[in-house]
Amino acid sequence: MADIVVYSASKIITMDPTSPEATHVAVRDGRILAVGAADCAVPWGDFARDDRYRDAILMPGFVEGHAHMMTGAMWTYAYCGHQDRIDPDGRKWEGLADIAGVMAGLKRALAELPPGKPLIAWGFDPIFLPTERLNRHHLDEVSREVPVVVMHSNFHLMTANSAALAVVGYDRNSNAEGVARFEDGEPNGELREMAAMFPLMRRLGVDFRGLARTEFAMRGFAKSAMRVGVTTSTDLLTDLPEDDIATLTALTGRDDFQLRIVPALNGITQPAEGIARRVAELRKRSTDKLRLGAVKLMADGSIQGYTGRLKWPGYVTGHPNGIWNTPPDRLEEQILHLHREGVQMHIHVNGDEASEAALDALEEAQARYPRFDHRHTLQHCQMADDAQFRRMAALGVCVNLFANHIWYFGDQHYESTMGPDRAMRLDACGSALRYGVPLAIHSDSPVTPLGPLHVAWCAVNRLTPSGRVLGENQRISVAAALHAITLGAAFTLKLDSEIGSIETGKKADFAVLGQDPLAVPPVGLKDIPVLGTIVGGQHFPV
Amino acid sequence: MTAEPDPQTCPPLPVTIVSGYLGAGKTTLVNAILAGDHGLRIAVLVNDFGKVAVDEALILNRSGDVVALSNGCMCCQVGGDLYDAIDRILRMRKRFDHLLIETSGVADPAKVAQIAIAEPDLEPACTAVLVDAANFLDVVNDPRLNDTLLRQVRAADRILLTKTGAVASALDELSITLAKAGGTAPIAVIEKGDREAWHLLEARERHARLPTPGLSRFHALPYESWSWTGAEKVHLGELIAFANDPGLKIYRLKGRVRLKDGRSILIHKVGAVITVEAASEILDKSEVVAIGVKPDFDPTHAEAAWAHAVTLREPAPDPTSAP
Repeated sequence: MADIVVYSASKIITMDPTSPEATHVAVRDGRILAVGAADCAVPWGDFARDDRYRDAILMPGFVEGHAHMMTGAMWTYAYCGHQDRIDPDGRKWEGLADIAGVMAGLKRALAELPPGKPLIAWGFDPIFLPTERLNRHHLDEVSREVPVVVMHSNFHLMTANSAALAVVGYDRNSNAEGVARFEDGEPNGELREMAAMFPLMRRLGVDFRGLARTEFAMRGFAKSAMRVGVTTSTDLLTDLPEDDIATLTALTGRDDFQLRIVPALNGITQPAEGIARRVAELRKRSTDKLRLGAVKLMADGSIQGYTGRLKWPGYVTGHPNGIWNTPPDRLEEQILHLHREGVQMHIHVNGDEASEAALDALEEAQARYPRFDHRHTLQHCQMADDAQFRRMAALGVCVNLFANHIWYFGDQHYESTMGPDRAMRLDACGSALRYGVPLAIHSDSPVTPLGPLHVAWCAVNRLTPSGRVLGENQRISVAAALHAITLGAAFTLKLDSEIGSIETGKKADFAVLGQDPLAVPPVGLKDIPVLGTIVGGQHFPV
Repeated sequence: MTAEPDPQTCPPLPVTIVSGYLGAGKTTLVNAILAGDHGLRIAVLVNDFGKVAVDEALILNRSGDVVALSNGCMCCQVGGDLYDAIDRILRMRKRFDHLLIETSGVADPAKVAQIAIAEPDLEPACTAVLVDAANFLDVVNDPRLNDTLLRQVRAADRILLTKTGAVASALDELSITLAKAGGTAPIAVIEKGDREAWHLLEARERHARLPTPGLSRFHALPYESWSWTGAEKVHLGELIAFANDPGLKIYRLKGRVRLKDGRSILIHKVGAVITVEAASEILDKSEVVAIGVKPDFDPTHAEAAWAHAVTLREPAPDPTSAP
């Protein structure tokens, strides 16, 4: 019978300026054959009609331009954050509002734990708990025998119970800076920064990065993506060993795998010539749902961790400036050579000194080896000012802004990192659009939860938990935000000819929504139900 | 019956850290150490990119980023996570006598040292920070790099000057810059390809201020420095007396100081000239650095004189205010 299926929808938002709206889309061989009204497929011959999305809104599948496979690995462990979270299999983990709630949640998780295993929890954020700070005595009440470790949501801190501290032998005589103490000198259970956390993690076998490379994590990542309407996501930084490529190739080759994946190779592990050779070799191994060849460079750290590199006047608290992840000279050398070799780069820059260093290098690269349409993308780029956005426009540089930060860390930036004025231009989506810089917005999951509609809501409303509107003049329209989570992000991945809009010839990738994002009040954007996705014509209902 | 040796009874693996900015000579030093006649099985972690350029004659085999040497040493380039690599080394604990970490050019060696301090299976030995004498003063003036370089200098147990040949005349200014930066570590000059460089591995942090047999062969610079930071307020008369004390042989002194009378001042001494001026801000602590020529200037004497004269001793009671 017919291999053409025509789907009807309450409304199809195409992101195609020629025909922004439609009611029907025809699919053949996993691709979009025609878009329009009920008769759109008539010229193509026989077709079947499928009305399962009759009452839903179809959009192009969302594109997450900056996330990490580790998203899927986290669910190996118990969630204990303050907000409700849905795991990849649809189980709802209730948010824990205070320390008593955290302890009760940990006790529930302990009851499900196989004997002999330590209890590891993640997602905890003391900022949101009004009570005293979590310490080892609270966790001793969860268990005195089983090691209990609560990883904080920033991954820079953990709180351990006495049994866990004993595994390393941390006590009042420990010299390590990161072993926090009560006033009497005894460790209080909090371990700060990796140096202090590492001895415990290796003894308990906690390895988030290793977990991210498992099939469990890859499947979890794809399922989580499907639940929020994402059909293509980056895994933005991996060394891509052969084992991982084999696993990813096999998994993404299956029809029941819900996600196209764009892994970005760590571009600083060897000189540019070697990276360029590896990229050329990887590109040949791309498949339909696995796109190889992207490269990531890291310039600095994070602003909330005070490791982002800031220009004068620096951190409002007087913290010393952050750290370079790559020396600026070497960053420039790598950018020059990768640009010359035609390798597209995603460059992690959080603070404005880091974004400036990257722009300086890109300017030099363009002067020496002029190149159109390179699509080098500044990732995060949270503190760029208008002058830097003007330079991005002049140099043809794209930007992928970390809009979720406005909600998750905006108050912190206002009060204790950048101060009010610079916090107002945090993730300045408005400026990017004013100067014509190609814009994407992202979650950096698992740093903040995966969910493009939430990211879009942030860019549109710029609200913080304390009720601030953080920079009203940097807000963007709903239409612009929807573009940023579809075609905008696809553009930064050089995939805009294949995905990101609903147009004839493109992949049949759709997000299925319960409400029309262009019709709900903008403040309701994040609450629009996602009913599932379609990837290459395969249906994945939530 | 003899039991298998228990891995738990292995002593902690000593860790020596070699740090410094790009081009300071870290890899050259690591290679000189590997080639030395030390009889130690050294695991080297290079937290930077680029092939580890070990003398080909020493290489037993190469496998990916790992180079095994015929003398039992192993060199591993760490592109990504230093922690993963340290974990792998510790799993092979018995194969090694020493762990040598070459940090990236922008690392904070104090943070790397914290790994060795926190991990019970490791023992912090020494953090050596290499300073390229030919270029340091230029690089440290780059505002993007200034704090990174000074952080490295402050974290050092040993400062090793490289590429000194061409710039002997600048060593004076360089050593003053390093002392002003808060580098309290002994400064020595190290020559390229020194076959005895491996003695650095014998240095232990707790001996940081004492000459060790291994380091005595390095050509020590003639300058020593002493510094003090504290919240205590200082009496101006005592401060000037300290700076002028002929017995201490202070050549240069610089300080930002809170005075007992509530003022905040800057003090400079160069040669015999002392200048005092008001600070542009109210200070909440004092910092003083003094430099002199060895062996006439001795930091321990300066420390004793400072503790005695300035911080501990109250000024003599004013007889006119007696009841």
